[in-house]
Amino acid sequence: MSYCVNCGVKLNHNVSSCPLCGVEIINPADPIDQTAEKIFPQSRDVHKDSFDKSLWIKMVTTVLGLPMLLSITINTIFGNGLNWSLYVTGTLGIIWVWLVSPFLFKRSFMARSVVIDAVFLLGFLYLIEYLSHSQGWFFSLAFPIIGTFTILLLIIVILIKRKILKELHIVASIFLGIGIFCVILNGIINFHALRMLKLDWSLLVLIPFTAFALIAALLQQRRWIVEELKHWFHV
Amino acid sequence: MKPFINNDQNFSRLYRLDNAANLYPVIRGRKRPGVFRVSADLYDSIQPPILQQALDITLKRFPGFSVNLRAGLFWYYFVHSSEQLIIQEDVSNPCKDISSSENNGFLMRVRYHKNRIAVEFFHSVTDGAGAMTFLKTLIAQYLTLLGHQIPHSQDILDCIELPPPEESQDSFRPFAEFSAPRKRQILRAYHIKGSLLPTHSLRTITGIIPIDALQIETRKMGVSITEYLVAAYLFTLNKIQLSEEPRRPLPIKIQVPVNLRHFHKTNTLRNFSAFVMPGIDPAHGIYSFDETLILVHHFMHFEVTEKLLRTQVAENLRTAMNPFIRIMPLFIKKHLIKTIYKYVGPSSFTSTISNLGVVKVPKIMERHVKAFNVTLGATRDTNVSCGLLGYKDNIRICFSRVIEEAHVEREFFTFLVKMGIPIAVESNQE
Ligand SMILES: [Zn+2]
Repeated sequence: MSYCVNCGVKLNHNVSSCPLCGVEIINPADPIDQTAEKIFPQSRDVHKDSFDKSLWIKMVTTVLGLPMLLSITINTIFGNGLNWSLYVTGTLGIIWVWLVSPFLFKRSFMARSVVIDAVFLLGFLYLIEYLSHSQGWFFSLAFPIIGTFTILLLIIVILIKRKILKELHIVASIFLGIGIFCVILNGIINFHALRMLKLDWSLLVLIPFTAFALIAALLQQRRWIVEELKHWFHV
Repeated sequence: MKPFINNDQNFSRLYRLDNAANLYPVIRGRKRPGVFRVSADLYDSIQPPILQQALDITLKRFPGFSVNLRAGLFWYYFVHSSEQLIIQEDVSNPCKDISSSENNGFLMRVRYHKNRIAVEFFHSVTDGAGAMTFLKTLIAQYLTLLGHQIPHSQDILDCIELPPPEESQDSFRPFAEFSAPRKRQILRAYHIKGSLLPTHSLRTITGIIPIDALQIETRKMGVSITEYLVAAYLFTLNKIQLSEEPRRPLPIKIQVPVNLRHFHKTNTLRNFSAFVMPGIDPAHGIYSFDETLILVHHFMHFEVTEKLLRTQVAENLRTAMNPFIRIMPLFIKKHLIKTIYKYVGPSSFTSTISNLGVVKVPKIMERHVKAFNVTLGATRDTNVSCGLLGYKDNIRICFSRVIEEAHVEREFFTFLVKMGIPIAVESNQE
């Protein structure tokens, strides 16, 4: 046992300085035992990010940025103005957005990155339509299809994130989502090609997929959703 | 209010957060973790597999603690979790923010190191008294598994018994008395200065004081131990403020939690405490220690009374019961509460002293447990916090801080040494 000459408090025999004033403890009668067990552990609880986001973003940027720059340079030097390189750059840009967007946000990134991915994809497709002068397909096909897909995906992602969907309910919702998406896809394509609302092949997808979804949902008890809604809405 | 519990064990069970618990999820963050810890040093080394087994059994007896936090449309709520809570090796920086991604979503941790068992809680789950009941029951269960006979007395719960619903009840509402409105005076208080440590750091210094040495002093003055230590803290904090030579010294105020179980019989394991704020205002002149002590003594006798505490609880409840606040969506409510908290919360007090009282365990358990300790998680709001408890012959006063300097602890402990009270000091920064 030693005492701090400054503070007058008793200290453990294995400390080398006073925790209150920092003065070094020298006691020839009781030298510091370096091998003595420490009262407190040495390891720290660090906030671990299992994934190094900034390294990932840098890597993706380098790998995709290089061919982008390269194609633009070649196109401007050897071609007459920017034409084909815009497609390459656009494609690589979309890939960059998809790979990077999930890591831009600290929390609930899934929902937001789904929206960002869709917006950039739509922008890219619009660019293609504009550059290739093949008018008509963006607003009647690409926009509604991608829009529907994004909304359905968004609903499922948010429900999973909020833990409203769990276990088999996730499976059920994916089956149901595919079924609904096929119906809408079918409608959009037929409307674009035949100018009329008519469903054909999608019903063959919808019926079995809805059945799968029902089976999965029935396996989880139905009351669960009721309970969850009751909790969520409590005032 | 009746707890809203489902009969079916398989379904997620809901617990409404009580009034105190509602605040913590809103203001929590990496810089304000809202986490505190109680720990016990045994005489023998901990055997992790046995501890895990004891925890699994104990947690079943405390269903209100095995919960996850969810955000509803209007309020946060708890849902029962049937996942396993895994024990962890202890670390040098206790009371770190419990993020929802760690720990299977649990709002508590159980840690061990050599002969120590520590339990850390997010404050929404319970208060110091509930945490101590859990720790004592966990140790009793641990010792039982090692073949010792531990009686179910002194707050040690029988893990075989079904948890009675009263234990997860919100006791604030039956306690509140709405007839007398009481406005709390909100003044800006002095704040401890220092250079901030990096996020997630917490330094602790624990002073161990023999109870009888302190009692000689308190008996002489006719005051309680809490009153004496609060006065000593106020006195040293004021000394520190005056040494900084401020142009206009601010009042020193200390938040002292009061366990309402002393005033209202309940066996709830959830939050059930209020607080009082003794203080001195240097604007009235320089206070000697004796003056401070008399002031604190009378203040506590006046404030810590059932009637005033009942109205204080009612005052706190009133906000949460306001129909406009109730139907306000959570994301708006969150911002509102955060803003209010900024003004009426920590800016109105200098630091916190939480006295968990004397920890009593059955005689047979005393032979296995050397010491108990409580650590409050200090935040950047006040920089330094203090928790204390008594066990056997000693009082352990644990200061935690998020600043580099230990000048507050130094002033406080050297003051006690000057009063003739012997102190032994331990730190997590050895
Ligand atoms: Zn010292």
